[in-house]
Amino acid sequence: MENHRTVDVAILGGGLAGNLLARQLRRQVPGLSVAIFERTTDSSFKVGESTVEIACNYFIRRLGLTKYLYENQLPKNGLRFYFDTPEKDTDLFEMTEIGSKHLLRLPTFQLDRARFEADLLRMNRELGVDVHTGARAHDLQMGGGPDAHHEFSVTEGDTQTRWRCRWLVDATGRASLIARHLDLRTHIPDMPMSAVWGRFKGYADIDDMGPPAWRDRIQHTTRLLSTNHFCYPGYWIWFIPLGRDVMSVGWVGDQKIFHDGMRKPEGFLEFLRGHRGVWQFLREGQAELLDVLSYKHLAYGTKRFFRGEDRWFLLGEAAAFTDPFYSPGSDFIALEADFIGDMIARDAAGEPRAELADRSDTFDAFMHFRVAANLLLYRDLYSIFGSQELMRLKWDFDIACYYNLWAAPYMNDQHLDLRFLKGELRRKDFVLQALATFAGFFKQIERALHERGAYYRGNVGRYIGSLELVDFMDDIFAPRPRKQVLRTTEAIFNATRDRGLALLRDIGAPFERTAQPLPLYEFMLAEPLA
Amino acid sequence: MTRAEIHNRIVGILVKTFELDPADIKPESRLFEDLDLDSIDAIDMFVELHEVTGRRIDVAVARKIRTVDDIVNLVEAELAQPGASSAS
Repeated sequence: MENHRTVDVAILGGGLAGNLLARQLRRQVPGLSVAIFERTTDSSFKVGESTVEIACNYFIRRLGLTKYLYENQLPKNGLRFYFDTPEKDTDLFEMTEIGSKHLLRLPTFQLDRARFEADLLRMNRELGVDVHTGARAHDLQMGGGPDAHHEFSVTEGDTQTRWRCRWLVDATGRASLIARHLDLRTHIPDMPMSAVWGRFKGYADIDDMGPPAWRDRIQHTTRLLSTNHFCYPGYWIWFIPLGRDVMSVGWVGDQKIFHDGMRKPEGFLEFLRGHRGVWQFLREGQAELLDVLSYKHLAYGTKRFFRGEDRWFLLGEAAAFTDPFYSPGSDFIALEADFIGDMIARDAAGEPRAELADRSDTFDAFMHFRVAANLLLYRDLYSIFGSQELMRLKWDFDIACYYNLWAAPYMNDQHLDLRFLKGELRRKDFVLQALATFAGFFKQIERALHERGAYYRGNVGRYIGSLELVDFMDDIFAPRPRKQVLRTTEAIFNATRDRGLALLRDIGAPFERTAQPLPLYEFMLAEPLA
Repeated sequence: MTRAEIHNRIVGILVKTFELDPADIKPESRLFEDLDLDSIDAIDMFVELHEVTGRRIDVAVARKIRTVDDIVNLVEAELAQPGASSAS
């Protein structure tokens, strides 16, 4: 016989996304009951360990996790990049390195996902969340219209329960129940990326190796806590410390390079062994590989993230995934969770359905904008990753745009202001065109570097310790007038273009347009920048 | 929309978006020199024009705009194109 139960908010999936939202809802709308349904019984190894500024601002400010994070997870020290020769045999200590010589200003963390999720689940239980593990949700029936309710069955061992909820959140990751039920999943063209990753024990302490000069240039901070990227044409290899002597090591790259053998431990090790610097970090193969996982196809999208008026929501990878290079996964969770929390709180407080629908449409459109902008950082650009001179330009550009356009509004809660969001959405096409224009610029420089045999010329023996374009950090700790944001954008765009043109000039490549600074709107044309 | 209506609409946008005094806005007013707009304001102007015409403004054409009347001409030409809307 089937039991019947009700809950206000049902969250399907008890991984990172579902647990973060459950905690947020207990704090934001304590009058609502929350239940989590997680299919597995043990937290497992998952990727997405590296977090960036928006997500960590959410962890600290919205979720009150500062104490937990600093006591149980590792603080992160930014991104660090290493470059190699075509033979991939450069000694680690000779590779050109990009990375800070000091700790960064805004807090970020490296998360052992398995531990973090198990801890969050426990903390959520303590906060009064009704947690069900080993609980498989199925037979979903979604309601709609005013006073919508949803129903689904949950099988736990021999028991089956029919649940009824007012708000339904799908945080089940790629398996997404709602996305399948409503046929929401979309293919993202031209993002043919695969990934393979594993956990290693007994890796080298990168801060306790190498010649004195190499150590000394980072003497005020640590390389180990960074997400260390080894960059190659068409792919990159990550090193993310998880604490307790475990290091996550992963490969992400074009499917043309990927082969099924890499999904097996021996194949993955063989691939890594072909990169001298990487292998040194793994103590010449003495580090022990604990497990290997993989995805053949990484990127996908969704037709819709949420319908607040109909009370259903996709969260995290249940909705979409782009690319892990800049670790945007938990940033997306933070944004979506804030949107979802806001919609549920307003609905519970009696906000009229038409207003909820407008809010939901705006949040949904903004998520699509955010994903579209994120995709433009990677689409057709993996081929430039192997050139230090070009990657440095792209990295400086990308991090400056991230702080200026995305992180600053989030940290000032402007993303919860509908008027602000609608203004951003009106300028959406211009922003996307500008990002596409810069992608074209980077490709143009890549072609010129290849034609002149200069693609690898900066890859050995150099060190770059500072970000060139982020000189506006002091301004982002309060909401800025829109005009100031656009002026900063114009400055970032012109400085990036200047440096790109200087690189072209340096290798003797001709370009057709003026080297003078351009007004902002010129970057928003579908015309080459050089 | 008639030409006069387009003119009034443009004046309305300039007043609302850039907090200009309607009395200062003449057909022959130069945007940068007389009305004190700048290259950043141009982005907002293109966004507004996009909403008037329902078409994405060809910025290469818009580059040639110098005066209020130039904007009126642009919008008039855009509205004459198939696919344009005179959404208010």
